[in-house]
Formats: sequence, C-alpha cells, structure tokens
Amino acid sequence: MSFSDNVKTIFQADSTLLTYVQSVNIFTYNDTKRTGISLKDTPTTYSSTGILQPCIVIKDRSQTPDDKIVSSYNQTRSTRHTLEVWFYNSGDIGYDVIENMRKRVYVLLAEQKINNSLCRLINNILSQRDPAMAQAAWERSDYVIYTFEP
Amino acid sequence: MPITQSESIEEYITRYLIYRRDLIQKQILQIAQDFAPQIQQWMVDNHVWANQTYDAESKLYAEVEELANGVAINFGGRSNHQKYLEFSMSGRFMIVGPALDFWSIQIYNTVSDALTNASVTTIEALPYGSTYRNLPKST
Repeated sequence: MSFSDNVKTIFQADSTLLTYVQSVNIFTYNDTKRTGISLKDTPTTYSSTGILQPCIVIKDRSQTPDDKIVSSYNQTRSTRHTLEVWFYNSGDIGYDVIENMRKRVYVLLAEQKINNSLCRLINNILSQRDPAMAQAAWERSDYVIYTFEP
Repeated sequence: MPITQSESIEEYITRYLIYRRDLIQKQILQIAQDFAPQIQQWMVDNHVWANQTYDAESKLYAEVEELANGVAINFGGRSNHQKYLEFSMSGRFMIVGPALDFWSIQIYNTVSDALTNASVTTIEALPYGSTYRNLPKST
C-alpha cells in the first residue's frame, strides 16, 4: 500500500472533508489511470449533465534518500518525497469549495505522523485552470513526507 | 592570511571571516555551475512526454544565477506549453517537480559537505601558534 493510499483512507474517513467532496471522488493518482479525471476513467466526478464535481487526486512523487538517518545494522535509510494533493471543481463554480477542501486537508496532514512518516506543507498552488479539462478550477497542496525505509 | 601589525584581533577576525565567506560563496557557485548542466540533461533524458516537435525538450533549461547573498539554480522549460505539461491532468507530464525531487537533496548534501569541510579548514587555519601569540593586544 503506497503512502497516497493511506492518505486516501484518512480523507475518506473524515466527515468534515466529506461535506465538501464525495468519498468516491477521492482518488489516488493510480486510480485515475491513463486519462486522469475524465468521464471515461472517473465517471463519478461528473454529474448527469456533465458538470465536474469537487474531487481530489493524491499523488506520490519520487522518493529520495536524504541520509539524515542511515544504519547498516537494520538497513534503515531515511527518505523524503513530495505528496501532491490536487483539488478540482467545475470551472464555472470556482474556488470556494476547493479552498474548504484544501484547508481541511491541511488540518488532516500538516505536522501529522502517518505510519511513522511526518507530513509538512511546503507549497500551495492557487487559483489555476486546466485547459485539458474544459478550464476546470484546480489548486494543489504539496507536502513533503519524511520517512524511512524499510 | 597573516595578521598585519596595524589591525586589532577583532579587525583581523572580521577580515578573516569575510575572506572565508567569499571563499565559500565561490565554492557554492562552482557547485551550482557543476550541477546546472547535469539537471538540464536529466530533464531531457527523463521527461515522460513523447516528442512531436522537440520544441519542449529543446527549451528545457537550468541556469545559475548569482544573487546578492547566495546562488540560485533556475530550471524549467521555456516552451509555450511547458505550463500545460507541468500541471495539466494532475501533472501527468511534469518534469520540473521530479527534477526538483531528484536534485535538491544531492545539491543540499554536496553543499553541506562543502560547508563542513570549510568549517574544518577554518578551524585549522585559525592563527594559532607563533602568529597568534604575536597578535597585538586588543584595545
């Protein structure tokens, strides 16, 4: 189970976050397959009239050893990676729901320990639009995850 | 770097620390200049999009910039659709983010090692011995 799977479970268990986004519309990057958020791969993210609903995509970026902790005794090696949390909504509705989701996710992740990993906010990209998704509104929060192998 | 007869020990230490700071700055600049072409090549080698016109690939860049109090490596892509590649469809074609992940720690570790070595050198180079004993008394 990847780290983003764990985070997805946490999001889907949070009743406050679920007031802004349906549980079925919280995805890992892996869930979205080739085409990303789309009628084909994620049909629940669109209403019956084809309007994009609030949704979240959680994505792990590459894990890199940072060598803060290294032990040959038990093969421990500390690493870090960036966790991206993408928030989407219809381009006609805008950013209010996205902002609520983003702030709730901050409460759930920032400075929290999840499976022996520490999450720390490092970046918020705000007020963007995606031309590949009919100018859908999106924002992204990046968290750096400090953890260790194995 | 010997002390002169006309300067106090405070003046000497200040001059010495500025000298060391400038040396470290030059060293960090050299590290950045070593890394920048590697970062650019890494982005060329590792982007996930399939080239159609090679426009995006040919416009990937990593450049060193000297700042007033530091050194920056600026990298990215100057193609018109680089932003689309980086952010569209949950970042399916991103390259700047992965490059940052891959290189930031290596640069951090290299600079960290350089500073550690510089500190050791500084301690070893402090004017102990006859030069130190002959320092004029501080006023």
